[in-house]
Amino acid sequence: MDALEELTELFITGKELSMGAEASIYLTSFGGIEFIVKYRFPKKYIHHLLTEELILKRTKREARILVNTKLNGLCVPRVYFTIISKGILVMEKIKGSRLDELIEEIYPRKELNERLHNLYFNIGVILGKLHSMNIVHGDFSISNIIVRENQPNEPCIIDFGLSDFSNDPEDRAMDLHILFKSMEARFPRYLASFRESAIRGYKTGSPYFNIIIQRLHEMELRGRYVEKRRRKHKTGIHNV
Amino acid sequence: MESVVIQNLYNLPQKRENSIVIGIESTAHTLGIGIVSHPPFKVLADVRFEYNPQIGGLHPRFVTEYMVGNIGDALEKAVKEAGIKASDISGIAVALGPGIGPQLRVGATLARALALSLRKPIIPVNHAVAHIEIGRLLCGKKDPLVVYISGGNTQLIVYKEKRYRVIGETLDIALGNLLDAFSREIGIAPPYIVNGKHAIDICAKAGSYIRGFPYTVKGQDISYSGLLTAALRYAEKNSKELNSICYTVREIAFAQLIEASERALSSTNKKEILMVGGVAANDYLHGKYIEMARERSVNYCRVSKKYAGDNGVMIAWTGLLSYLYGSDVPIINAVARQRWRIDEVDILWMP
Repeated sequence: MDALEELTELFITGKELSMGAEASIYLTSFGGIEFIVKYRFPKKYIHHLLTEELILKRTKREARILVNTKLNGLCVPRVYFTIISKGILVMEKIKGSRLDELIEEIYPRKELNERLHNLYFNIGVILGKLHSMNIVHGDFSISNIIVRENQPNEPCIIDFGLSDFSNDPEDRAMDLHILFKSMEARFPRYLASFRESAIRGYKTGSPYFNIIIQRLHEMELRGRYVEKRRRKHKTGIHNV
Repeated sequence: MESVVIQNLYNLPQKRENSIVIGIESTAHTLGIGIVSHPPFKVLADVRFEYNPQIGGLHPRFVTEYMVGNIGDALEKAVKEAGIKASDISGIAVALGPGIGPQLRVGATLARALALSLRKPIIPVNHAVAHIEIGRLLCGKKDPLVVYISGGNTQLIVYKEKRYRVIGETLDIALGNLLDAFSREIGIAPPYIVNGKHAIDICAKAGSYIRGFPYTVKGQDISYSGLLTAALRYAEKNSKELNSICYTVREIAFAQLIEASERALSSTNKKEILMVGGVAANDYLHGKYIEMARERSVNYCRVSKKYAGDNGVMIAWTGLLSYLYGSDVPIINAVARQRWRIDEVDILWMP
């Protein structure tokens, strides 16, 4: 075992908080400070060259983007330390709850949803800021938004694992698309109000707002078998 | 199938007498007629006529001709197999979509003719829902993350509030479509399936991994068209590396699907995976899912190979569930719906 491997082992001895899709998250503390260790583990069921390639590329990119967005004043985890080749990213722990967990708690009580409109608006704002820096998140779902107790209307973003530098309207619209789809999948009743507030917020900060919203609409019609798409070009053939 | 299991999986209205439903499947290249009865659940007939092209892919006109040519035999065979009389039948279920228009109309026409002449209710069935219901039944899965993969579909589905909701899907072509189109273009298919193995599996056997092919996962969605284009371009210039190209396309295609599935698992906290659809019969992919499920300590089951591909039994079973809830429609409304999305269907039988 070389020094890097030893160090890697050391970092992942903390408490495993969750096993995400591509990485395990550990909570470790050092000198009284808690921090998060994100470890991209090689997967046995993916070809070793492919899994290595993905680990290296994603860890490097994630670290770079986190530092960039932090420097621009967005609420994202601070990066403390990395071992890129081992897929290790050590970062700040943001104290708060995940948006999906928060909603889950209040879901049976519709009136509480009304109180979240400022938060929803600001989710749009922060995404607009991110996009204006030519960064897209890539997995901007409600489970990757953290709400802090002391600043409940200022959302933080985590998990930049699929993020990228991009100014493509397609990628930007995709962030919105994933956001709304994640809401629809878990809390379909809240989608309409959530969407309305978030888009209003997004409008304040996002460059090329109209183009992106246009692209979002196209995207929603792009899934398979969307009836609306065909209704636009009705042929004379009757359905039988 | 024991009735105890069915009670856990389905919330069905109390009905003492036995129901018998005929299911007609003709959404793609299989003409299937299945007959099931419940309770107890029993498959009375399972007749299939599968169109396999000599060259090229599925030309709707030729598939339709083939189906029309065989439909009489299929029906006769199914009724004989089941040993039932017209008066035993409770209803006629038919897959009205999603699928290819001309083929759908063959099934729809047969269903309407039967319903009219026998004076039986006609029950529309969504093809995708049917894949899930037969999978749920055979695997005994109550509330899984469904991985629905076939020639025309690649979707990650969960049940929530009376509907099956698509939480991830391909943004362009389906997994089966990628494997078939790639195999066809490089000249190793048709036949697409030989002895239960896809042409790409046979071709990939002597291959190794090539770096640099595109890998596209966007959240829980995936894209396959970029991979197809890149692979075909590479194959044009490096025809000697065909085995390795097959190997790499398959590795990346499956890895993308697995990653999207893993993302869906973490976002929904589901503890079960159910794999359904024609591509579920792929053993190599199955092996990878077994491994993944073990690593993540989730329960995984794929529908038995026999019911992975399109069949009339799954239409009959889903039709029977709908029938018990009185979901039959007037004959005039029983028309083909090529783009009938799964999330438009009310699922009434979920406990």
